[in-house]
Parts: sequence; C-alpha cells; structure tokens
Amino acid sequence: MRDVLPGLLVALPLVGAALVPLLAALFRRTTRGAALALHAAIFAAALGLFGSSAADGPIRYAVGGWPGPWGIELWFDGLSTLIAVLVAGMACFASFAQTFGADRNGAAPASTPLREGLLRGALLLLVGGLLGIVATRDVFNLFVFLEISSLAAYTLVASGGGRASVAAFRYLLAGTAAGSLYLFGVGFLYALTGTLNMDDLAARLPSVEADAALTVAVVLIAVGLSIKAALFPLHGWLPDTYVYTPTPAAGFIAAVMAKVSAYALLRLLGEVLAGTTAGAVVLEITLWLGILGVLVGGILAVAQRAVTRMLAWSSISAMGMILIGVGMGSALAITGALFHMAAHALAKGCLFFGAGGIRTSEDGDELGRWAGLGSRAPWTLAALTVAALSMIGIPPTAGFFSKYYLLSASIEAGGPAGIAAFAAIILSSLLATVYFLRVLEAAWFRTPGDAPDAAGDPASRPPGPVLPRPLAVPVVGLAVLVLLTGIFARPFERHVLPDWESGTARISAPAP
Amino acid sequence: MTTYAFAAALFTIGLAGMALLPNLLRKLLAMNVMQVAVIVFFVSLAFKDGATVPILGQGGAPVAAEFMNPLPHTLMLTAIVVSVSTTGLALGLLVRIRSRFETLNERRLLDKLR
Amino acid sequence: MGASPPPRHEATRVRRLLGAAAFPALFTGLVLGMAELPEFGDPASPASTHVSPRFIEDAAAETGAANMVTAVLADYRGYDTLGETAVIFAAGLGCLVILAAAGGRPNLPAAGMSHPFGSVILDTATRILVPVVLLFAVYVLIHGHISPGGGFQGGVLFGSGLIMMRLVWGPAHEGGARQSDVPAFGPSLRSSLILACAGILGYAGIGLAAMAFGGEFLNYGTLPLGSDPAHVRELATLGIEAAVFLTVAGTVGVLFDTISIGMREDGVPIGSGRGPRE
Repeated sequence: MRDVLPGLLVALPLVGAALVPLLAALFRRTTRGAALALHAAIFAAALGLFGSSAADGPIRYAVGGWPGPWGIELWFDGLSTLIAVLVAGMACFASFAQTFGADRNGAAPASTPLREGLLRGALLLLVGGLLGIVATRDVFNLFVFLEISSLAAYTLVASGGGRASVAAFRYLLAGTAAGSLYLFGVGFLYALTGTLNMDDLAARLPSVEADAALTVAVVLIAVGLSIKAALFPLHGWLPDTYVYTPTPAAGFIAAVMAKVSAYALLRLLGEVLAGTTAGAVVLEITLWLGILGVLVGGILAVAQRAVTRMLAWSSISAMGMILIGVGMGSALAITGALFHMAAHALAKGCLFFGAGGIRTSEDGDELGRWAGLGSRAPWTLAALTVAALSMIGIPPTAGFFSKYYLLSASIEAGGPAGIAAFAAIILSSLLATVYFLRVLEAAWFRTPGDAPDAAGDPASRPPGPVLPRPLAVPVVGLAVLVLLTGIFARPFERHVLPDWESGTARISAPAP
Repeated sequence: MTTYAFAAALFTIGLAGMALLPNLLRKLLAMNVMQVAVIVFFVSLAFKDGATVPILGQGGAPVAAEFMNPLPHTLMLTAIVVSVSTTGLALGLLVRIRSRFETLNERRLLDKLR
Repeated sequence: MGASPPPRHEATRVRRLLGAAAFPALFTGLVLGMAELPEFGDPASPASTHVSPRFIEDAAAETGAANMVTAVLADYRGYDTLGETAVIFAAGLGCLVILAAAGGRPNLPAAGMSHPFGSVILDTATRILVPVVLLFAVYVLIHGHISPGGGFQGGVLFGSGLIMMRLVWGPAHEGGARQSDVPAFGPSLRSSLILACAGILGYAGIGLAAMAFGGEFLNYGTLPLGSDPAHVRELATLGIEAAVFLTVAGTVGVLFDTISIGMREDGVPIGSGRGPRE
C-alpha cells in the first residue's frame, strides 16, 4: 500500500480533471457521481497515507523510479499527510456543494452539464495542484503545482462573471508575480548549489559561502510564498477574491488555498533553509508581520458590514496567526500553526458555504439580511454558530485549542516578539468576538423588521429554504468536525509532533 | 554577470509595469516581461564556456564539460508553457472584462465597480 | 458593497511614490546577490558539476534519447512535464469557463472567428501552407528524441496550423457562415476540448500503467514493451510526447476559439457588428 498510494494521490486528481470534462463533453449529462467518487477516492488515498506514515514512519517516493536529486521525490510525513487529508476532505465537501449552483454565487445550478463538468474539472485540478505542492520534495516541482492550483483557482473565481472576473484578473497578477518571485529565488538556489531536491539543498546550503546571494534567494522565495499565503501586507488580492468567488469554490479556496502556501513556507523556511542566517532573519520578520496581520485583519473585519467581506478579512487575521506559529518555529508553535490551519479551514469553510448560500437565498450580504434566520433555519444557524465560536476560540471547539497552543508558544518564546504575539492573539480573539457576535445576534435575536439596515420586506424575498441541501450538508458536517477536532485535540498533537521532530526538521525549543 | 544583471533589470521593469501601468492589458504585457526575465536568468545558468548544445552527436561517450547543462533548459521549457498558459487565461479574462465594463483602464474600472 | 473603499486616487499616488523607491531597491538587491553567483559560463559552477553531469553522460544509455533536454523533460523529470501539461490544460479549461460556456448558452458555440479574413490569395496560400505546417508539426513531435523538438513544440505548431485555417476560413461548423467554399476542416471547440482531455488521460494513463506493472508512477522502465530498458523508456517517452502533443494542440485550439469568440454578457459575440464599439 505504501508503494501505491503516493502515486495514486497525485495522479488521481489530474486524471479526474481530464476525465470529468471529457465525460461531460461526450455525454452531455451531469458528472456529479463521477466527480464525487473521484474526490472520495482521493480522500481515501490521503487518509491511507496519513495512517501509514503514522504507523510506519514517513514515506519517500521517487516518481518515475529516479531517486533524488536527479528525479522528483515525494515525501509524506505527519505534516504533509495531515495537510493532504485536510485538502482532500474539504474538496469532498466542495464537490458536494458544486451539485447546487456551481455558478453565479450559487444563484442557479450550472447552466449546462458541460459547464458543470468544466467547473468540476477545475476543482479537481485545484485539488491536484494543492496535493502536488503538499507532497513534493522538489522546489521546482513545487512551482509547477503552485501554477496548476493558481490557474484552476483563477478559473473558479472568474466563473462568477462580472466583478468576479476583475477580482480573478487581479488575483492572477498577484499570483503570477508571486510565482515568478519564487522561481527567481529557486534560480538563485540552483546557481549556488546545483540541485533542486529539498534534502539535497538542506545538506549543501550550509557550505555555501555567498551570504548576499543566499539572502536574495531566501527573500525572493519568502515574498513569493507570502503573497500566496496572504501575509500582511501582501494580502491585497484576498478580500475581493473571496467575496466574488461562487460559493462552492469560495468555501474551498477560503479554507485551504492560502494555507497550503503557508505550509510550503513552513517547509522551506523552517526546514530546507533553516540552516541559513537569512532564513532565521526572514522567519523573525514573518513573525512580526504575522502579528501585524492578525491585528489589521481583525480591525478591518470589524469595519465591514457585508458578512462575506468580514469573513475574508478575518481570514487575513487567521493567516497572520498561522504565520506567527511558523515564524516562532518552536515545536509548540508549529503544533499551534498546524492546528490552526485545520481548525480555521473547517470553520471558515463552514462559514463561507453558509454565508454564501445565505447571500443568495436572502438576496444580499448585509448584516441585516441575517435577521431572524435563527428561527427559520435553526440547525443551519446552530452549525454556523459552532463555527463562529471556533473562530473566536471558545472551548470545546477546535479554535480554542489552536489559540491555546499558540498562546503557550508565545509565553515559551518570551521576549518582545512573544509578548507582542500573545497580546495580538488575545486582542484578535476579542475583535472576533465583536464581529461574530454581531452576526449571531442578528441571526438569533432580531426579527427582520427591526433590523436597522434590512433592505426590503420579508415578503419580497425569494421563497425556499435558507440553505439548499448541497450547502446545508457541508455546513452541518463541517461544524460537527469542528467539535470533534476540538475534543480529540490531544491525540492529534501526539501524532503530528514526533514526526516533525524526527524528520530533518530543526526545532529550536525543547518539546513540551 | 552582464546577463544576470540584464535579467534583474527586465524583472524590475516587468514588476514595476505590473504595479504602475494603468491599463490592464499593459499590466499583462509587463507580467510577460517579468516572466521572461526569470527564463533569461535560468538559461544563462546553463551556459558553459566551450560547450555545445545538449544534443548528443556522433562519436564516443559524452563528457559533461562538452555540453551545456540540459536541466535549466528543461525547467524553462516548463516555465515558458506556464507563462503561455497564464497569458492565455488572462487574455480570456480581459475579453470578458472589456465586454462587461467597456474599459480596461484600472481607474475607470474601479470607478464602475464602486 | 461593504465599507466604502478609501479614495482611490490618493491610494494610487501613494503607491506610485512607494514604487519609485521600491523598484530601484529591488534591482540593486538582485544585482548585489548576483555578484556572488558563479561567473557566467563557469564550467566548475555547482550547477554544471553537481546533478547535471548524469543527464549529459548517462541519459542516452539510460533513456535512449539523444536530446538530453527531452530525456530530462520526459523521463527524469516526467512528473514536472505532466504538471506542465496540466497547466496548459487548466488554461484551456479556464477560457472555456470564462468565455465559451458563459451566460445562458446551452452548448458550445461555433468555433472560430466570426469575421474571417477571406480572400483568393489568402485562401490559396492557406491551402498550400496548412498541410505543410501540420506535417512539420508531426515531424517535430517524432524527431524530438534526436533533435530540438517534442510534444510541446509539435503541438503548438499543429495548433498554429489550425489557427491559420480559422483566421482565413472562419468557423469550423455548427452554423457559422463560412466565406469560402473550402470544406470545413479542423476540430470544433468541443472536439478540441476532447483532444485536450485525451492527452492528459493518455499521459497519466501511461504513468498509471507503469504502476500496474509494479513500478512507481511514471516509471516507464517496468512497461512490458521489450527487453532493453532504454528502448522501453524511449518508446514510452514517444507515447507521452504524443499525449502532450494532443493536449497542447487541443488547448491552443480552445484558447484561440474562445478568445476570438469573446462572448458578451448578453450572448452576442464581440465583432459581430452589434457591439457598442463596432
């Protein structure tokens, strides 16, 4: 199993991305079943790898039978398989959501089976790109899969039409600049070492005596990946992209896309480039920018009146928090960062599916549209409430534990950065309380009439449920997962941590 | 060094154009300039004094010093394809934006979106 | 929607000032870093001595390809190339989603320019040139092993042959009014899409077949095509180059057709004489 699953994990999404549009073009029928089966198979492969790497140690896989540094290797340890499970699992929910309204913010089912097939193909391609980034042990291969995921994401964003195409174009400019910066940095590394394999790089970099060139390489790579990870102040592409993307894709992109880039940043800065002076300095800068991002994202989220835009800014805050963990680099901090990736992906996916669906059914995105939803759709709103509580960080949801780990790591780190990180995380939780309670209060305790900014009377709203089933199922399912992840936080920590330490990773601080 | 600096200059010009030019199509062209800069950089890394193109001719066993490094060429073939694909998709987006908003000027576009 | 954005013109001015300082700094930084890189053309640089010598000295024996770039591209780093094929496929998929299948159109519209540049001279020249271009494309594909060329180059050439026909003769079929009596030749948009999908499936299929025979993904050496491993790899390389060819040719067709159709939001194609500009 260990010698088959790695190949299947990276091959299946690409096969599916071609197969699903092909079926749609040939038979002009819905491709729902085929796409769901493919996503389930990919998820099963990811789970299998997760279990296998936990039971028998990390897996190294030489694609094409050529070992590194000549060929391209894949690497599955606790870290990469965890992210792979997260990506593949979220993709199952997104594919389910695509059943309803892959188009136009979910306002209508995809207009034709062919278009549905194309959008499903784009989602599979996005999954393939992200899984490729997660799995690879080769810095150039990472670039290729970064671009696959980017192009697929631009497609999904632009499928919203109108404003979404403008958002997609700006995202494309930012994403391509990011990719080119990264590739330029890889060029420097290649010129200095002659290799592209991550293990080989980590072994050869310490003997390189070109500090300025190495610094340029590290900075280019870090800036490139930080743009994709929406690290403040390189987050400009994020709000419009998240807001105008059609709901099924938005739930997926908001949940995992930036996090996979943060994972790549962790791999490269925390592991491959960790032996270099420049790497340490850049990590320190990442930490401080993360602190700033947490605060700026939180403050601007409070300033928003549209719910999806508020969620987008809250994502910038969350990415800052993950990068605080990456920047601190201690075992505890990395646990916190990983846990926050998982917790935030589940909760934010849930919220985006929910808020996007409500934006469609209530014909608007303003806070007032949420008035009275609690009595109309108690289960859905209960699920969204769980996700919101996790975003704030209230036990026993997953969000509490990630913040707990990150706070402990800040205390452990000490110094000005530790204190600042501690304060920023606390403050951002307070801000999250403000902006999420506002929404929850409108949903549960207000009636449509007395909301100050409710536009139009309830009678004029389109009839039908608050959330169609293809969106309601992911929302409720993700909320349950948020709770389960919180309850089973300890086993999770035990699985991922030892692996990260026993790998080639550098862990500066002792494990707790 | 001159070729390296040339690549650096192209990259800077491209990135500056992407940030500062007002028209989206020009931004796209500047983006292409930036991508070409990276390609120039990699290909110049492949160069070896006194070596020939990395295609085996007649004769005995090949010696590494006699041929250019094929790896950067391969990587850049990939990068060129990536650049072409991104440009194709971007042009599609521009056609869509132009037909919907009837302008590609960034400022006018933002005014219409407000 | 949302909070009112900050005054744009003020923001632009700040950005310009920042840019004026940032870009010279970027250039200086890059050049300072480059000063420490190995000299241009240095045969003793790490890039020339570490990994690449194997590609030069052993590629022909290990993979059967005299063109070392092809050997690295299709074999040592064949996984990259699968990714690269997926990238170009993604672009085709994207343009279809953004342009062709947009709006309420039930099916793919007729492919090609709505206003072709037909004339006797163009028509005759195209009749002579197109077969040569298409044949040359296939030559470039097959000859990629021993000379510059391969699936990408061949596919792009093939696609450009198709584009030439589209430019001169207009839409392939499905109701497009052609301006000459030349019989329709060249794939419709739907066929182009099917071609592109088939290429990806072929490439990944060869990789998965290698897994079925007990090797790693894309390890062509395990395929039961002969006894000499280098020859087997050579055959498989030709197979994946052909798959790349299909995807690239199909995607070039998709890109040209979708962008040239350029649907408006209301479904009226740009350049049909009914737009606001024309």
